[in-house]
Amino acid sequence: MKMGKKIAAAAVIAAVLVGAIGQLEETEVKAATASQAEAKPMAVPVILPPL
Amino acid sequence: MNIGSVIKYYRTKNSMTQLKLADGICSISHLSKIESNAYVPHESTIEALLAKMGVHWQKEVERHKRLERQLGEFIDSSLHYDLENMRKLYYQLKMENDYIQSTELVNQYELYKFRYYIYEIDQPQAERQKNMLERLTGSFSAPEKWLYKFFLSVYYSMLNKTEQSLDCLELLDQGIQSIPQKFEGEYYYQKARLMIVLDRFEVSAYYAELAVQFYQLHHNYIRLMHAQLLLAINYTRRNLHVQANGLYEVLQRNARLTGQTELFHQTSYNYIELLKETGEYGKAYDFLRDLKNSLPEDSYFYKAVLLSKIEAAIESGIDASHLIAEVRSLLEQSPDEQVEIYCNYFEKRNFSQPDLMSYCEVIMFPFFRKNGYIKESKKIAADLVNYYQQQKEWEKANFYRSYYNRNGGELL
Repeated sequence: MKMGKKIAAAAVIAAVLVGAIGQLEETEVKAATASQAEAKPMAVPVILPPL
Repeated sequence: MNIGSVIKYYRTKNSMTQLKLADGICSISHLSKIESNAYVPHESTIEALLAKMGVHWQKEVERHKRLERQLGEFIDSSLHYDLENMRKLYYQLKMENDYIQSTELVNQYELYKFRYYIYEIDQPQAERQKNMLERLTGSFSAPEKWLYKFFLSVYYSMLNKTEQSLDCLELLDQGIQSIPQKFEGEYYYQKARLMIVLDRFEVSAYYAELAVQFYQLHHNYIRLMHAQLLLAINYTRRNLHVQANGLYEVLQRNARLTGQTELFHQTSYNYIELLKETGEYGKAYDFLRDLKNSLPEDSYFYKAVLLSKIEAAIESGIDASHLIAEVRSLLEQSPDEQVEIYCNYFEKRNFSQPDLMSYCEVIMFPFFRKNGYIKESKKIAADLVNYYQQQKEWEKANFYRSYYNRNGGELL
């Protein structure tokens, strides 16, 4: 394989890996937000502005 | 102006037959066509028919114009939350109720009366009006049908029938073109308000922002403040504390300057929720003391403030027993299942977790679910999921997890 092609293939793999890591991080952030919301105690009744 | 209906109105009011009225002026079949608005007669015929019943034609035209103007003002007041003016006009128009029934203004008049009863939270009157409007739907134009569905949605919101309210509202969301232009702001506002109840803050914030833009553009300042309060509640729930704080500052100042006392208190209550979110329970407790002193004891709002104060006291290590006792004594005078449930919940939170969880499962979850408190039942479901996962009772954990997921999706 030519050097140029090797570099291109390596770049593609690197891009895929970066994307996957990014996705993982996003999932972790989402999971953290969800469990944080669930961990809060019951809120008092909400008082909204008039209908 | 439907002159035929006016002639019919005066004829029946004077207990006259068609034969007697038409005599010497026109034929009975002619009069019949006039009365059903199938035919517009010559002005001299109108004058002669009305004069026979002692009615002056020109005065009649002026009366109609006046009613049209008053109804227009009634509608404008409704859109701008000018309740004082609406109340005044309601009584003025009520005096002319029979006459309005004979004019083409009747549908608009009855529709906005429905809206008025909802503003006044007059449940029995609103229900009667709803039943009456159901019979009128056949004669509604397309915008009137839209309006009826819209008011119906607001009516169900008043009754806490959230799902029904949403059903009505979503039927109206068939593309922006179908929303009457002057109702855009109201539509966004009601949708944002409903989405808060449904615990869908992302969607709610989207609509609240649209409502804010609309009201700003149309200089509708009181409604603007209402929409801003929804937005601030959304910001708080989404952990955008700086943005929420900025909005609360603006709202407290403007509500005070415009003399909107109730809105000022509502803003303070929600600002206190922000303080709790940021862990400032001591400050929240002080604010609640001031707020509590400025509310009437028999209101639901007062009880909500008491519950909030109990929470703030528990979290900042202050003894809450005197507050719990106060709630209990208020409940003896006027029972309120929801307030009682909250009070028991906060009391139990100080004690064992199994006891609290069993109370959540047996009493709170069914109550909130039955009464359409989606946000609250979701919260309880989430607590129960965590609890049963810890207890390794997977079947129960799964049941509450599926309930939570079913009601938790973001819908646009």
